[in-house]
Amino acid sequence: MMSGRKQNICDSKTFEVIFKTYAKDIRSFLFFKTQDIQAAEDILQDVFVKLWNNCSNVSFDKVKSYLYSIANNVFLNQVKHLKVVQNYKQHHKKESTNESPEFILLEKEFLEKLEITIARLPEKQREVFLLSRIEKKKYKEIAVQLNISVKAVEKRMHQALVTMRQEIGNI
Amino acid sequence: MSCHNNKYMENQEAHITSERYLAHWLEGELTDSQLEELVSQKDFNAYLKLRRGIEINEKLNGPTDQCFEKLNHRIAGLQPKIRTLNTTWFVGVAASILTLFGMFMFLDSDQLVVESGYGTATPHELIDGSEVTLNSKSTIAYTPKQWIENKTVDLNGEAYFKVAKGKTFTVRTANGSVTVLGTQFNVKSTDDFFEVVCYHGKVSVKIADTEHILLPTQSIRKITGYKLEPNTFKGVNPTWLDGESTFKSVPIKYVITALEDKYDIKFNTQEIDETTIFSGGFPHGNLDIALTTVFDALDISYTEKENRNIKLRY
Repeated sequence: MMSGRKQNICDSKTFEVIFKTYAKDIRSFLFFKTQDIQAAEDILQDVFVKLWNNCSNVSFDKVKSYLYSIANNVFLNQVKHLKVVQNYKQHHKKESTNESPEFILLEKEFLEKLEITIARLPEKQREVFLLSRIEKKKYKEIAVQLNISVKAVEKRMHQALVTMRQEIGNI
Repeated sequence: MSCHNNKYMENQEAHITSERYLAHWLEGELTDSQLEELVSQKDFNAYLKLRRGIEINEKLNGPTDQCFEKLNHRIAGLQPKIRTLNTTWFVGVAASILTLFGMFMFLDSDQLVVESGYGTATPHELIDGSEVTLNSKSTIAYTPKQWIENKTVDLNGEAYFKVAKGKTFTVRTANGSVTVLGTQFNVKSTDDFFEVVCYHGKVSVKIADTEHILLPTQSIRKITGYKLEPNTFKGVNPTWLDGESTFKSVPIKYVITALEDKYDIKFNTQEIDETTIFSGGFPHGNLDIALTTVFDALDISYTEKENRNIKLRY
């Protein structure tokens, strides 16, 4: 760190800065392990509760590696627990219904490629894609905003997905 | 083709060209099975993954404010801990220095009681010149005045006996008794755990009404609810004399008790299975390392809830 002064993690402002700095990265790190955004956020909280409880023992310089190793530990501990739960469920499940939602594994590489692909979409497709996905606008609203027909919006959106499908290939 | 799909196609065909169905599908206006009919299986799988990727990507890039708020709620009640486990432990050692060499107490019947506190081993010399070393939180009691008639030492906890040449006596515990035939041996006896290890010479162990003779490198163990376990080992001394407690396939419960006695801490074990079997050891004199070596091996996590109270969970 730039200042020579020792930063105290127990200080709530410093703690908040640490959270804001690392929370997203650790959430992603946990997502790739759990493949479950809710579980990732839950563990993220556990991790920071642990940091808070341990704030006087962790030095500011080491906080990043502390956070990652705690995140990993909590994850591993939960895996063990989950396995127990899953075993239990397997033993106790009745005749399975046909709705077994296929589990889709999302690798880190896949999401990285996805982001690049979105950034490189042709301008018109990208605009519609972002308005729809990021700003959560309906196709109708986008049509009004861009002064084009709803059909045209849907066409661009469709094209955006086709482009992404081609770019990302079959990973 | 499903009826749904036919209907969709019929209704939409007039208005929609095939170049828009992905937009409809992403908005939920077209179901997965309808999409499945429109594209190849390979494309279908790729689009499913793409959709999940898009959703997750948004979430992973999304703000963490909500998380931070929840977190604040959770830690609102918690105060940051100023003391570390290590310093806490130091206080424990300071406190146990008082009892380091054992607490001597004469009770009404001229009985001598030697009690060790938390922390390190406590040496004591019996009246016949035999040496006893008490492990943490252990007690021996005997009556020096009646030694000639009654060569009995009562033990609760764990102790290593190095018997003076030609001497003999009996170690009595709640779980059984050990009769010495000139030897070196270790006895551990707590509520429902009884173990005798013979290092030198020969000892006779009486559990219930059965007598067992132990020779060097032999041990015997009885845990309530488990079968009697004869065993063999290597080593010339109990490891705890050299600053390490070791265990061979014991329920974790007893390891936890040993940690508590060694470090003057308490564990909350409500959330773990205390019958989990543990083999291994922990060092004395460094709580952090002791905790890591025992609990990381079992994937149990530990958090200090309050002063010297450690919560265990998976």
